[in-house]
Amino acid sequence: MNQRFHLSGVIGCWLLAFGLSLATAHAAMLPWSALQGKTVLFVTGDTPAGAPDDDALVRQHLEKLGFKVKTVDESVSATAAQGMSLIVISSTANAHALGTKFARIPVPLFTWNTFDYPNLGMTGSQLHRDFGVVDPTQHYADSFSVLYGYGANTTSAISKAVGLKPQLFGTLYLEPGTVGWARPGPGGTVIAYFDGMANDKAAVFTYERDASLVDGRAAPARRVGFYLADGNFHLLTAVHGPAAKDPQLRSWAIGLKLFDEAIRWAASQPVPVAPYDPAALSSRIARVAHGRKVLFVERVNAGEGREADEHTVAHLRSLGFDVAIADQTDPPTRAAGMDLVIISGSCSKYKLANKYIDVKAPLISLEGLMSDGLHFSGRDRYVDYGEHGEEKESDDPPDNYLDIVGAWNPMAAGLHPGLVKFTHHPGILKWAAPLPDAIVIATLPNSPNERAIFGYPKGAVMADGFIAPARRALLPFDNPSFDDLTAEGRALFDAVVLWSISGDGS
Amino acid sequence: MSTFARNAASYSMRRFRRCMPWLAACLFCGMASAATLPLQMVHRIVVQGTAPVRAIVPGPDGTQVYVASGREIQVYDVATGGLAGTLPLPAPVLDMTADGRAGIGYAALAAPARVVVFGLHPLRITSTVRLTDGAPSALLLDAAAHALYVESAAGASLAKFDTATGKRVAALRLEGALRQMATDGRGTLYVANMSHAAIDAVDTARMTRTGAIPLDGCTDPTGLAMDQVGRRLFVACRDGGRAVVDTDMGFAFQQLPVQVHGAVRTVFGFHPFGASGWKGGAFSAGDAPQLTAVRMNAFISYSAAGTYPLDGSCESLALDTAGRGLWLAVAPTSAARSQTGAPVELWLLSETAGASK
Repeated sequence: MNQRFHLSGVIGCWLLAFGLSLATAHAAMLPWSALQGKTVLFVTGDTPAGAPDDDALVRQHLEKLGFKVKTVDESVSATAAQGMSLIVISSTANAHALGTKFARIPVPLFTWNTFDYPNLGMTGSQLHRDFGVVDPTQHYADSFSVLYGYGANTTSAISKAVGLKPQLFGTLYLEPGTVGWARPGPGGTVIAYFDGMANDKAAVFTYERDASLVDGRAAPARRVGFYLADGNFHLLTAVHGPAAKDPQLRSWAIGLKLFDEAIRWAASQPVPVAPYDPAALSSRIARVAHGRKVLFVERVNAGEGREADEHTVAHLRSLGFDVAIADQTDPPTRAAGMDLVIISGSCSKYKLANKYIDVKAPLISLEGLMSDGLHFSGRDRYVDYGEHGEEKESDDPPDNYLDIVGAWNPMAAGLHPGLVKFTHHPGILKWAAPLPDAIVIATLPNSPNERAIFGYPKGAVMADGFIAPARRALLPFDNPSFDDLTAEGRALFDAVVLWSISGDGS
Repeated sequence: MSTFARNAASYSMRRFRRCMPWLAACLFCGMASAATLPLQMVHRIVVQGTAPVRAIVPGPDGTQVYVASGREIQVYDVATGGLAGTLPLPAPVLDMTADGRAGIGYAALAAPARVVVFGLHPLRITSTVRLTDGAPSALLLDAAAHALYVESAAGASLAKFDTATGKRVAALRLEGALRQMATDGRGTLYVANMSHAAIDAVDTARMTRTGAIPLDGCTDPTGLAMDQVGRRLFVACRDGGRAVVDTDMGFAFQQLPVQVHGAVRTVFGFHPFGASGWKGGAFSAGDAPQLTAVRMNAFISYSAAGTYPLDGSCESLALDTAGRGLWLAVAPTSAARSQTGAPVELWLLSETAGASK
């Protein structure tokens, strides 16, 4: 009891200190120079004599990067992390001995202890389904397959720093490898997959602070899962000498660079998000809306949804936008000169055809069933996209809640992680399964793979290899939903609009 | 290691080692790293004179061996150990190399700096090339490219000569403590540079430095040898580190500490002891009275194979390309030399019968 009290007190102090520090923290990735002298708690374990163990090399490398490293074993108290800038956990540490001691610590954490992922809430708890280790004995073919990674995300801070592309790269040097993989939850960001493993086994993944972990908690600080094992840090790919002049080899041998940049991201402070405040949000939109042109594409004089369309347009105009209305049959040239295109759920997917797919302006779809055509998701209806509550098209009952998993992003309007009442009454809610380059804000309740609100940054890799010409976002409306939005639902709408017109960053 | 969760990866790796044949071989050799190399003395030849042996070149048919020592090239009959001939030189020799197929040898001399070109049969000087880039410290011949590279550690330079014309083609200023050179035969020359823990790479067509390959955990590289087929560079460092570099990637993917310190020279050869022996091996020897070897088990598997005691330091070493073994010039310790006048000896080592079975 005393220990618990002590730990919560320590965490409370950290949270206070952390919160105060946010005011001056604005960078998603600090420059290396700013990380010099930062402290790292390196948690390791024993390995039998002669067994692979690169912990000493890792420590040397971290020190070379400028960190001050304190190496401890798995029996260390969680309080040892106090004052540290980063916790690094090696796979040599005993995951059972580690338990959940670092799970609630608001210090960034970087780990390649695959079996510790569930303790930290980074994956589910079931071995082989939620996480696993590939090794050359039991998975001989896969131990070669895992030498190849695939750039899943190209727009995260880590991806940009590495120059990650949607293509193969070498994870480890050309020997049969032992690696850990994971299936993170919807609040996580998959940076890279292993090739040839159904594109669902993440090699590198992250959770931003306040992103929802698999166990439902919000990440207390940044979290990174990396594919290493005990003794293969020295095999992380890199290229030197004459080979380094070859841009293809440079973008191939990026294992070490990926490690470094993921470390840098973890050790950097997140960008703070404004707390939930609808009035303040409206003010922020109003500041940028003046003079901005929005094309609202609808089925003019639609039956169901006509009033909601009118009210949506009125709301946008009330925020200061200059809104033009286009019928679904109008040519897409109507989007010329627009700052934002919004496609209403009243549009017919069939009649809209493929208009606005490549529009240069940001685009928000209020119709999840258009996700395939807009390259938001794959094309397998009810697998890649679908809806809840549609009597004849869904087994799922009507709903009016969303599960916020991306509270860290401004699109979440400052709402806390977890369930939020989106509409006053249960009804139809749309969803889609975007690619890893999307920022997922909310899922449908109890359906973590059915993402209700998400956005693709400009340049993101969308379905079918389509590159987002500008920001793209989905809101899970049905035709009349806008009129039924709660204050939180309206804030989410506004936040997505604001994000969509707010530049090219993520 | 008490739980499955703790160390699944290392647990798996141990099982992997037990199961993979080549890795098992690797493990065997790894365990043998502190053991004696399975080598035996085939020939032991006393070198005439007291000067250090700067280079050894086995003759193309294996019956003779050429030795650069003092102010002469000495030729020994391998079977008898007798001196078969000498070629007087105008100055002390610093290094020697030869194109056995063409029957041409090259000897680097100091004061004045020059390269003497000589015929192997008959043994005679055919020409002399003046060097203008400083006193030579090492030679490297790329016979296929008709190129002779002359390193000058004192002059911080690397010069390229056309062996067909004897002309100096180009030179490169290369700062640092330059040691052994190696070439991939595909346009890149590597130089061990003790001034930084890295191998300098040189584009031989343009004679420009094209970068460096870092060697984490291998400090003061001195020995260098190339497997031109596997594109592996074997590096021996003064701190006892041994590294295997994938030159396609410029990546040192294997570190094999051998605990034998001191500056060395390194040679690599496929089937160094004949077709039934090792697949390949990189041998290093120098200051310390021990020969060390990195055994090639496969193109992705190398292991520290052990050491072999020498009676003193090794002044030079060379592999017989026909697989007859490894030549070493072994100098007694200075104490032994002063007390007994013990000479430098040539040793030809081969694999102990049955060692590779």
